[in-house]
Amino acid sequence: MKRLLPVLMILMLAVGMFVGCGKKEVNDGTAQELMGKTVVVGRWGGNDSETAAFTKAVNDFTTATGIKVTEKVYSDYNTELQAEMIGGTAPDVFYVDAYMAPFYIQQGVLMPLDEQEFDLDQFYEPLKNAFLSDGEYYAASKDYSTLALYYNKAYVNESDIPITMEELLGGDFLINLATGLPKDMVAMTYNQDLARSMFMAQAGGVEIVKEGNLSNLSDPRVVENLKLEYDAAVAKKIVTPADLGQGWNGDAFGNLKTAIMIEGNWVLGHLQTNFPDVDFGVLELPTVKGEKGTMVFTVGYGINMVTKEADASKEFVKYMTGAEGMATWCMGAGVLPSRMDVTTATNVEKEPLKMPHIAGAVYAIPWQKGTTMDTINVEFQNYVPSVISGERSLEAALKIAEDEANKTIEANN
Amino acid sequence: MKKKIFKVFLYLLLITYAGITLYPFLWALFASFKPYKEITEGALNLLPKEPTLAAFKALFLMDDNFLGWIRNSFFICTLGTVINVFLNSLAGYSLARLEYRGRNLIFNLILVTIMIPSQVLLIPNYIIIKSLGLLDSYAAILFPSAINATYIFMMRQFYINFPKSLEEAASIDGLGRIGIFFKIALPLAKTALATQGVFIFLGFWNEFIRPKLYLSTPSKYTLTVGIQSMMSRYGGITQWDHVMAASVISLVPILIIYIVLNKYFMKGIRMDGDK
Amino acid sequence: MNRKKLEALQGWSFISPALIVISIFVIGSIIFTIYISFHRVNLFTGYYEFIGLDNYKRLFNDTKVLIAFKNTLSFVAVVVPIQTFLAMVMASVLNAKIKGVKVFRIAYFLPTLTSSAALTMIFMFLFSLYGPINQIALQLNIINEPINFLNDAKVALKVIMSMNIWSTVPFFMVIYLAALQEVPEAIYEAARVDGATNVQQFFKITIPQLKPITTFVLLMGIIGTFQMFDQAYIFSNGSGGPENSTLTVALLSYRYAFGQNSTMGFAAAIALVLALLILVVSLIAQKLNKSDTLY
Repeated sequence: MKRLLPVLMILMLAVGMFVGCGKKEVNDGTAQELMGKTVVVGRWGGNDSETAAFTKAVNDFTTATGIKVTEKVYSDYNTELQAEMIGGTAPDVFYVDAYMAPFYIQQGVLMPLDEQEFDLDQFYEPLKNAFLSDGEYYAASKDYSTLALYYNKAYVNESDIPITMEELLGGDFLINLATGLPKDMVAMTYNQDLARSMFMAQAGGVEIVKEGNLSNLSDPRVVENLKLEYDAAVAKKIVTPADLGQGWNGDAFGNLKTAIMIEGNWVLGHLQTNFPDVDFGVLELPTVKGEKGTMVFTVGYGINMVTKEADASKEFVKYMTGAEGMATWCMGAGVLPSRMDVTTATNVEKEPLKMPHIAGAVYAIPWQKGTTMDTINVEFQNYVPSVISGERSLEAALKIAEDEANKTIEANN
Repeated sequence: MKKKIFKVFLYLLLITYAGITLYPFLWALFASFKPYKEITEGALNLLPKEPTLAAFKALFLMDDNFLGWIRNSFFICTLGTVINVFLNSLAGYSLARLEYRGRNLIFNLILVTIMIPSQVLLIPNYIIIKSLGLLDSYAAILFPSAINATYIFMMRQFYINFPKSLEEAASIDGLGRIGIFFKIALPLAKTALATQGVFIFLGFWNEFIRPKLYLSTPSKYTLTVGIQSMMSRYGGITQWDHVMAASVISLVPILIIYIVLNKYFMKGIRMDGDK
Repeated sequence: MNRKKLEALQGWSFISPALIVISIFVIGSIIFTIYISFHRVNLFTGYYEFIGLDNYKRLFNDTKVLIAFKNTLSFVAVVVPIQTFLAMVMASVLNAKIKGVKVFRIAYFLPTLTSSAALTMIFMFLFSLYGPINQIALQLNIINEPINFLNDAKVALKVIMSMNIWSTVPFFMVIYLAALQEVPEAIYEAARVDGATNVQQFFKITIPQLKPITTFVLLMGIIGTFQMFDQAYIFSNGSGGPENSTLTVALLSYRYAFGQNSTMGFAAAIALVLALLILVVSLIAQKLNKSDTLY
């Protein structure tokens, strides 16, 4: 018996610790009734490191709260998700691209999120507001990308690169640069896409969307703003990746077909994985009309309006867009944290390749404005090629693009 | 002499056309053994400069379910093809060979079903599948595709040309309609059946959007769905080396089936009677 | 009388599995599509507002729709005859009794297996500003300056046409090849005895004998080209540009169905009118091909 006593005591202690632990977790964690619930999360696929980071963050969440998570990975995201929403089988939580947000909000499929509860003050202003409609927030940003200028260090000196867009596109820099490049390499590529050049088009306070969500592309100030880029394109100072037989800027840059490009930070991982030999630098975009500007693209977590697991879903979104979950996700996937506190905590600002992108988060504008951006951009892309071929002046092309877009927009209403 | 010139001409035609059709195919095939950079740099060389199996390795390691997906694909494709070939031939035979009221109406109805753009049917079909309670089951894929209007149409066109005499002889021998179908009509159409079978198998194998919509449990995915779900497709970056390797993997079984069935493309009734 | 009844019963029972599947999945969907084409809908919330013929009226006022139909029709008019003719010629060449033909049969089938994403990528590269097609044309002095195929409204659709022909011919060829196996050799022998040349045999025997299959190939070609979507979508990045030159009806319908607006009803109306047009053109093609002989 004497011998048994210490054993018993140890046993009791162990049991006590066990019970204590369990109790403690329930007390400071989530409400007990959420344990064992399952949240279905819809998203699109990413590269290996993104998948791994997502899985890790999800496992941490399940450990901390006892809420299970099932993933649903989509490929043709908007089509598949819309079919499921109509069929009533959509996931509880899903990715919402900022540019599709106004559509989903208008359809009434997103649950409004409480500003305090989701700690939205910690988010960069443009990212927080990307999901704002009539004073309500409908999703919490999970990460973001901004555009920055990439240059190949083997061909371009950082100090030579103009710091204003007017000089970069309007001056002789690109022409001089081109003369020193190999035969099949151009100085710079660009995209015929308003999603990429909206910040330039809107320089000086003009907007490309006017009242009634109509296209405003033929506004003389917009024409004037876009002239900078398209004069350079007409003069062949800049070309599109397709002209080079390349799928996009990232491939053109990696394959040494272009020395400079303006791209989002998603290209970083791509260059490091597929083109490890290319030595490049990243800079904040040159100023337009003396002001800093860039585009920001963000994706948030939204909660299904008709979810049966509203509380568990909220816990999930809170965790993934909270300090801990976002740090796990962003560090693992190599993307930029939407929260300022996570930016500081993860020291991501110290990385020279990411720093210019992070700097942009403060002054960037999102690619989003009502539900007519698609129509406006489609018509822009439709008529801009005629400017390059010399058939039309930019002014005439933008006028047609505006008229065509507005005809469609008015008919849709 | 004239015959010889004609033969040379034929060979020239065959080779030229083979060049045109094969180049992109071979390019895609060899691209799966190239690193990303070499695929995208825009060179015309077919053979890889630095051959690598990295893309294949990456695909197999991407998900534990990979082999399961191949198994699922084979299961669905084989079952679906067998059901289809049988039902399509039955329907095609009925439309071509049997006289009854409403036949032309049915034929036109079947034609019309091919004419409706499939994007329009996507959402209604999803709702129907859901209300039948078939979501996340293989029945959701097999049931709506149990027949294929295109090949019903094809089989009808085949049977229309067949000599009636054989059927009549069989009928005199006391064979019933079902007997005629199984003993005469099906064996006679071997070539058409093989053609149909290959294309239906190919269709099932490459079917993407519906399995993607209807199946939600990853272990139930087919190979195409599995591979696609692993790749960033939404505004993302196409990892070309993986895509090329995936298309090569999904091509192998079809190629085998085609080569196996190829002898049927050669043999028809005219060569050797009923065999 | 009794026999007739029996045959009708057999006919119906042979076709019934097909009818069951079609009536559940296609007829139901078509009725649903017709229904929403008369409504302004929000499928997410189940909101339906009857608006009569408004969606159809819009079809006639919308310049885009007109352009899309024009593009699609010219696409059909160019692609269908070429692909049908090429498929038939190549099939009969492959059917000739010459050495090595087996190898060619497998070779020609391979393109049908190439993934469409890979195909589009290869074509984009072949036709790019500094790509091989431009290089070769420049070297042969056919052109003085590289043509921007993908960005030029005058040629963009033609590039897609050639790509479509390239990728569809093998499929139809294999079907023709199967049909050719059923043409009795005796007919050719009789013709040869009469001194008919190879070319004469092709026009006098092969083409008439293949008529039912040609109907199939024509109709499938017409339906496929009228519904052309993928290649236009990938080439133009979904915009249908430059200058609407690659805007097809299916692309337009998709844009209205899954875009940022609640225009599912209009998309349905476009699709239904397209189906109707396909039906009419198919009937005409069928009539033209179905002359006096056979059926």
